Amino acid sequence: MMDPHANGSINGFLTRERFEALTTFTLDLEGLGTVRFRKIGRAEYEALWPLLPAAADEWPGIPAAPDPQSPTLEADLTARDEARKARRLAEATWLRAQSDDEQVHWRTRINDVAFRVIAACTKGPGFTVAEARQLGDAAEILFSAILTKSGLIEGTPAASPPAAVAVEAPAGAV
Amino acid sequence: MLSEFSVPILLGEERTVASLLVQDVEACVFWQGYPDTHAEAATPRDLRQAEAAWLQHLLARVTVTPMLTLDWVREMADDSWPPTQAYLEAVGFFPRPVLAPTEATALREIPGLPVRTARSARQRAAEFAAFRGCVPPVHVQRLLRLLAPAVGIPASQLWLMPASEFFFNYHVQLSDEQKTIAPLPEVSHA
Repeated sequence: MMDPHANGSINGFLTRERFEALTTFTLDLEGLGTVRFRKIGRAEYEALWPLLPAAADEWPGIPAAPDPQSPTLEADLTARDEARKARRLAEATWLRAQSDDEQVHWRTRINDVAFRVIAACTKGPGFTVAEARQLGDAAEILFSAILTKSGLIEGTPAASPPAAVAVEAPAGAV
Repeated sequence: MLSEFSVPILLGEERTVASLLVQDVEACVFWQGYPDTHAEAATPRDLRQAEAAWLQHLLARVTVTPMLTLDWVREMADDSWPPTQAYLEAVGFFPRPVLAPTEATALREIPGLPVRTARSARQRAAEFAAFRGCVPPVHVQRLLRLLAPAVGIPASQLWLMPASEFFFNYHVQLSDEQKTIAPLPEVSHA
């Protein structure tokens, strides 16, 4: 007779233990040991970004990622890169027009996204935003690992959300 | 009794398939927390996030085994969308070829499933009682006002109807013009 609890599930239904095992990832950080973390959803990730300034309405948009099978893939990718550059240039122009304090505030808020992601997703040890900031360069490695596993870095496909909740990466996103 | 059925979810590095047992909940439970998308102050991003939050809450509400919490759904990250999509399809949320509710949501037997892993009847009853008296979101009120005379029952009864029957009636009983006035939200895969 088959064990109904085989493979950590009951008749194929998830158990908490199985769920933990499937949704927890690990990363070895040199000198710091192993960190356990979970993925982050696109909507949750986007919520951690500061709201764009009103001026951003005028910045160039970035086309959606082209279909890898598209016959015009190379041209589409080039156009996307150009659009990205144009948007970054517009953002930089806007930022230069702000006061020194506002520039620092904006840059800090952007940098904090990584620390907020780490604080939201680390499970052992669970870092606070302040602790994540203390990780120094390791924070960048951990942040990238979380985004990669979550499919939020280009080239790592994640499940598609329903269209109405699909979001485009905010300006400055990785 | 409302019918239950399973939807698959892929998790982990190996994309392991597991199942969630979900329930064809009442319309009032289904629509609970649906964001009213006409608030002038809200940005498109706010609205998208409110809608995402509604869908995450919905998956947690309708799943009876395991007893999902919102924390679980958040930990699923974007892996929670396919089972949510499957659920929305099964209850007829999308204007796909319309099946009668009984065909769309066949009861699935799960012999030997420990009761402690599922939401108990008492928990479900308490949740339902909390939702049935809620004021429907503005958009859903519009749906109810159009649908009630078309079906021939009071809106208060529609509000307590299983979601699958609610959407079956929406697709079958309303004219295209009425559906234009009160469309279902576009939460479909691109």
